Amino acid sequence: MHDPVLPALRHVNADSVIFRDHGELITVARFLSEVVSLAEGLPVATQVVNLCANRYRFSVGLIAAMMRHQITLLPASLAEKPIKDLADADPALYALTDEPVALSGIPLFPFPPTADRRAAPRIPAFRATQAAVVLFTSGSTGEALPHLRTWGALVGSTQAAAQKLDLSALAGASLTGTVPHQHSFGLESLIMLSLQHGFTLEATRPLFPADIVAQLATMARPRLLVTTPIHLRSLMDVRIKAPPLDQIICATAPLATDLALAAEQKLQAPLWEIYGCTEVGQIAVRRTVHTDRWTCLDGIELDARADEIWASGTIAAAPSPLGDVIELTADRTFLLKGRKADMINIAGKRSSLAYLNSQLNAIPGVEDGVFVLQERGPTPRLKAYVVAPSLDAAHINAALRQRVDAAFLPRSIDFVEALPRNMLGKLPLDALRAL
Amino acid sequence: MSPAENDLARLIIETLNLDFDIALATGDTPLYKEGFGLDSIDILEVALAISQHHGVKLRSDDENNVVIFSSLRALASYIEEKRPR
Repeated sequence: MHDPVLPALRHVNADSVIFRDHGELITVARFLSEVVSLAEGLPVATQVVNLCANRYRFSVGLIAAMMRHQITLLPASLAEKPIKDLADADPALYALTDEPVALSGIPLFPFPPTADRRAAPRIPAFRATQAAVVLFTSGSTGEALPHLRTWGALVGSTQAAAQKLDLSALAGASLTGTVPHQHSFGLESLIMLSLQHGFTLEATRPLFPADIVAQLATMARPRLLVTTPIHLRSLMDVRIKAPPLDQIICATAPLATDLALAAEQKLQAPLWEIYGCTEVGQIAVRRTVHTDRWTCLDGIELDARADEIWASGTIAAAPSPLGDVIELTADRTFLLKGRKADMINIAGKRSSLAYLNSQLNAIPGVEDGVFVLQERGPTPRLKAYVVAPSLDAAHINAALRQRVDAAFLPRSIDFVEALPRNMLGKLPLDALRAL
Repeated sequence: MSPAENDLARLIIETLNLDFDIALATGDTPLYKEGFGLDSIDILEVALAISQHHGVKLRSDDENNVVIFSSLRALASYIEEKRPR
């Protein structure tokens, strides 16, 4: 079987700047020497949870783990229970951290202080079939489902996306993003894009709109911003003065055309959207101001099976049905028509209501409970109806925080005597709203 | 709670459609994660509302440094300090 060896990074030479950390420039030579020294010091294990918040240290950890043939696990959130479940299943599992984290149930391995600078080692390269990372989604029955990405899948997807995003004019670009790198989008469009295109990646993630533009203003051109519709909307605040950019990449939820237009005008750069999911990886792109149709990446095939649309192909991490309603159009293009009923997407974090309900009902003292999505306000949020005579809202929130991502915590909890279940045990939405 | 803290609590509750009883809030009530229970998406909305109402742009060195959201009082005094006069 053809199993090519693919390099960890594709920067021009050892002096190329690969990261910028609070203004400090980090060369490829320093990055590689830190990778080698960390790889030598990592505990004996087959898997590692990489919790590093700094993108430079996260990347050092990712490549060092690959050199040791350790698979990097990226849980969907910092909630304690899913991580403890992983640790229970693998006694050698440990977490690589670069700042204090409140986690018990897993050994922590703090990122060691910078080692002595040795001569730059060769750029490591890995077989395409080597297991690189495992991302997690929430299954409908309450357990976290693992999704493996091989090194070849990560690199292939990055190359296929770059071809469609027209990055050829952006050689040596600097890059920053507002999304976490432990999720699919950030891993692909910040870490992998940067490593595989010789870019300079900002090590810190800016938070407020004023932080984002302040960081962008200090970056050399050409510069790219990787972001979400929520952050783009906050950047359109008239009081925020933004420097010109050269490319914007947006994902997590479809962007409205008028917001895309406003962003292109204010930031003076083309804006591309990426459509993808944790199960498959990157699937399609569109230049939102030109078309509402998505164009599949080379190496991705979409086909209708029964009443679902499946994504598969040479760059797909795994063939999978998609959680959105999709209308296939001509020439490898499609339209997004919304989410399937059970799926929710809060700020790019997808889950199913069935999963969240199972987590709610697993809390001792909760006799019955259900989440309802409320679309009022700028971001959709959840509300919970709960039958739990012995518990209060603070207790339920604390228990949920151990189990699910903070984005899915209910905005409010209504305590009721019973849920209006019908004869089939189902909960009609109208009956819930009447509570 | 000072009048400024009370106004700020009201602004946050209205901006985010929070189901939070303002009578339970004090100057010490945390905003981020605990107390008001805001997350990183919420504080973008709050930053926008504060920019519009007070002309103040919120800043933080990075996402792990959200000291100004440690309490209602901390955010109110940040706004008072940075408010254009």
